[in-house]
Amino acid sequence: MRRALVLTAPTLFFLLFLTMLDTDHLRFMGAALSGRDCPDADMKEIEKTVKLYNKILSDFYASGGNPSLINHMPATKQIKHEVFRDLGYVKGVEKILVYDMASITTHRIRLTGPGRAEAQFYEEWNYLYQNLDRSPKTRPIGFGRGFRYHLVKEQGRWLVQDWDPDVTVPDLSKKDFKF
Amino acid sequence: MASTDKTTRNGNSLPLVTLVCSPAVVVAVALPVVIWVTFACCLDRVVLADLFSARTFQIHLSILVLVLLAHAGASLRRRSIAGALIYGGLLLLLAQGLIWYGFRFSGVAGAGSGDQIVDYHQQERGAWAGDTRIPARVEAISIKEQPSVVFSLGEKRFTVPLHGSFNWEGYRVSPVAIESAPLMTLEKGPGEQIEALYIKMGAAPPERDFFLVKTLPHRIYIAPDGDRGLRIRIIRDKIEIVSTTVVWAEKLPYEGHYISFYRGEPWVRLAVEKKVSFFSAYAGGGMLLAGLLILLSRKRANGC
Repeated sequence: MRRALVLTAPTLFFLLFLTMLDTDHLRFMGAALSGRDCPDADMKEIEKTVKLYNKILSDFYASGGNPSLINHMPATKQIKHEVFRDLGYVKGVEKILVYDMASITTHRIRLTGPGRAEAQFYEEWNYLYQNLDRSPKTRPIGFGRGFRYHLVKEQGRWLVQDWDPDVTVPDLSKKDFKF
Repeated sequence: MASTDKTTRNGNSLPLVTLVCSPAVVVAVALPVVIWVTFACCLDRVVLADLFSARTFQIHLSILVLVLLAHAGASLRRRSIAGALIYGGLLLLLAQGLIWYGFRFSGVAGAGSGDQIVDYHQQERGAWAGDTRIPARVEAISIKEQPSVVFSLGEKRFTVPLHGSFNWEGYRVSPVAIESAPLMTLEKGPGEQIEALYIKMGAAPPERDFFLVKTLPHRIYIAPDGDRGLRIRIIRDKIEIVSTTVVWAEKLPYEGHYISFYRGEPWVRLAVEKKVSFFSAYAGGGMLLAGLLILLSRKRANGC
């Protein structure tokens, strides 16, 4: 009995420590073993993260660059820096960009490594430019496009690390939200 | 008070200590490591470096090293050559794994004429890979019938054909493709140039092959469009500002700026790989084999 315990103890400790210290590795290995792209829990978290990211992005533009939500934006410093660079540019040309997401449809979410994921969405946006006195500068314009987000998990929270326009995402719009 | 000595009064080892010192413990400690590595090797989506980054795996590997060291030491004390060779061999094999993981380096660099090999577009490196800059300089790139690259390394000057290679201090450098780097100029108003850059086209995968201009937030994607010019797409945040074809030297207006491209210079894509020595693996394998052979011959001699 004691012999069996000593011999199985390393494997048991290994499994115990894996669940305690390396949850992301375990989830990734689990997904890879089962042939799935991503566990459901992570998929929901990632969808929520990307939606929140885009919501705060719209708020930044609509407020003309009010940074009060900066700490709530689920994005890495690099991305936040890029967003504020763009906000500064829009402000510099004396415009306000009113940016509104009409719809977002998930195409594919997959874990690419422990604590790393890639998420593809089809997004529909409407936007218009206003003058600084909020009078319209352009008519509303709509567009739909695929985007690929690269996400990383930091301190248990998914963050947008980068994104690219993605032509491989099919047009998934169900209704005509666009202007 | 209970005795904490390892041995009983008559000098025999306690059963638990005997068990801990038995080869079965080595197998038990090694088992999860072997299962974890085997799983990863069977799954095509898993990169080995990801697997080794698991803290549990690293802790377990350290324990395995300690167990092997203890067993190798115990074998030496018992003057068991076979045991010392087997455990020593296993330690060297493990060390080889760590050497490979820690010192591994492979990267893709880009260099134009006059550039040193320092600008890596992609790289996969271990924690101890160190400084991976290669002091070789690209002197000239030839795109004639037999494309080749002229390098200089100190006083030496040599030509390497495309897909050939040269070695430098354990690195293998191979020119794998010759691409084009058009010259981009950006003007704010007519004649007011604010930026001029050579853009290494094809340095990143197509969906990530964009460049940024220091002073502006736009992502500018370019791709070859036959001989007449380039396909260009300019986006600012998620909004597409321009998507068109621009011919060489044409001034394309966008958001108060004018961008132009001119036929530029070739640049060479270089695959750089660090060759890790396998001495530890050969020595470990040899020791393991020798130990097993001694053990086997002894068993035969004993008539087992």
